[in-house]
Amino acid sequence: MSEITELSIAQQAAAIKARKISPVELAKAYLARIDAYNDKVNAFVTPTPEIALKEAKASEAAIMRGRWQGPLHGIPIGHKDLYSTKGVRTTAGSRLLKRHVPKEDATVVARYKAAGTVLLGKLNTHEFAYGPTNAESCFGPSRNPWDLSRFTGGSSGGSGAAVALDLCAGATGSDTGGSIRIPSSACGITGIKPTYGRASRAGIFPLCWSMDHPGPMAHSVEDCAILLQPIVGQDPRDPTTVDRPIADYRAALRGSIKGLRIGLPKHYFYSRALPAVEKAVLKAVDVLKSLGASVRVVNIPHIDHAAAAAVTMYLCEASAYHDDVIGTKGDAFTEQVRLFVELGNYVPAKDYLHAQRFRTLLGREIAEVMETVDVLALPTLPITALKLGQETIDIRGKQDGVFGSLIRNTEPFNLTGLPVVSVPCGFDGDGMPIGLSIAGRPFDEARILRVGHAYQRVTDWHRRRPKL
Amino acid sequence: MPPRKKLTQPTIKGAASELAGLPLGPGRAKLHAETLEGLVSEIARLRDLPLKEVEPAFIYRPIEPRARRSK
Repeated sequence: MSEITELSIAQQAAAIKARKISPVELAKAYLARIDAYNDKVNAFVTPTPEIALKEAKASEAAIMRGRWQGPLHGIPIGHKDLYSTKGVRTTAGSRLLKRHVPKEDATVVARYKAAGTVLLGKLNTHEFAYGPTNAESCFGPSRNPWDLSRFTGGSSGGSGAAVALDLCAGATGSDTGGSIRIPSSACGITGIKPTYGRASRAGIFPLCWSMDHPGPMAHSVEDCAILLQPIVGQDPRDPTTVDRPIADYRAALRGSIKGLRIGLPKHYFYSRALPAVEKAVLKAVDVLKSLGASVRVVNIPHIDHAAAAAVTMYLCEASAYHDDVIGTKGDAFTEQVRLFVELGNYVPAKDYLHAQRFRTLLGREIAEVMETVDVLALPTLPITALKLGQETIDIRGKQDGVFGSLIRNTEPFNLTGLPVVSVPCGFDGDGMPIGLSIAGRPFDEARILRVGHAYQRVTDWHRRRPKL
Repeated sequence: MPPRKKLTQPTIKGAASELAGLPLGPGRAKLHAETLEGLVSEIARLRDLPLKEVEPAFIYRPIEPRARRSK
């Protein structure tokens, strides 16, 4: 294994700034790993080695001239294939777009370019981000590097596998029902879904306009903080972005969490979790307690209806988006995505509005809870990565559907738009990663990052790597 | 409100062709009816929630005309 690809982004940035490693050397090290391992996990669907080397050389030249731009200058990353990349094929994992080459970058892509990142390529996604496994893609499924017979989680599955296996230093994901956090948890990495309105969705194929969130994925919270910084803030191309104060996320990692009040929403978020998952997450909460946090159980009265509201949102908004092609090119979709798009035709408008009203109700109830605690701690997923194709799982003596289980704990935060970071917190008996989610108040990304970083300062789950 | 009746294939076929403009073959209507029944029974439960005084979670933003470009 090439050693420089094992370094964190923070370490790589320091070494690049000090001219101890060159961006070209770093890009070549990742390209070599992509050559060696990508076929096993199917993470990169469009590698861009020529672009990577060109951008790395430009970074190197600038740095040699004393023009170091910041901690992302010369850092090799990948973009989920849902993000438009000017001049680079962008398919959304769909046969419908197999030859689509955008003329413009997504705002997030443009901002990473401006920060000096190096593009290694485009990463596999569940078709149009419409599923939590990444099993359905025109390129075939991405595979979990901890066990190649299992799913990565999705929809940002290529991003999860690529980061876990050090095929890139960091990656973008997008999250409509959990699509950053699900593969982060399933692949043993860190991912943050910022508050709705914090980062621009412009140039990213929509799944569900009112619940889509862009965000970064990397090994550590510190690296996610570095990756989050350039992509937040108002964007005229996305009217949902807001003009709110932006913290220095890396600086905000400093300091203790003494006195932090953690809420445990035991009902719903823990009640359908596998015992091994619950045990690992509660152990992680104990670690946070040992660092000075206090813990209390909290209750969100109508949380049991979150799944119904979320599925209403997906069905209606995704069907509206794909309405121009589903009737004439339905066969081009993968079967599961086609079915979901078609089913949106039958949901009455009043139920869509009830779901939107429920979002207000749920937001109020969580805000009320957040008056008594600073963050919520919960299992990112009730389960771990399962075999590709597995449709149900026995949890505490009852069969749960895998799709529903994967999004159960994540989608309430898409409905409410609250920020959440997922950090690795252990492994199950099969050696599959488990994730802890820390959810915060609106626009309080700094606090959840600080909590996650405090946890990673005293644990090493985020430093574990799969062995292929 | 009277209880909702179980979805049937003729209902699905009619809604697909007459409302959505996407006619379905018999196999597809069966798949839709079976898959949708479980989802709709959950979605319909939202109607029983205390939402009378709750507004939907979206805000319409009036769109300003673009500023005229200076020559």
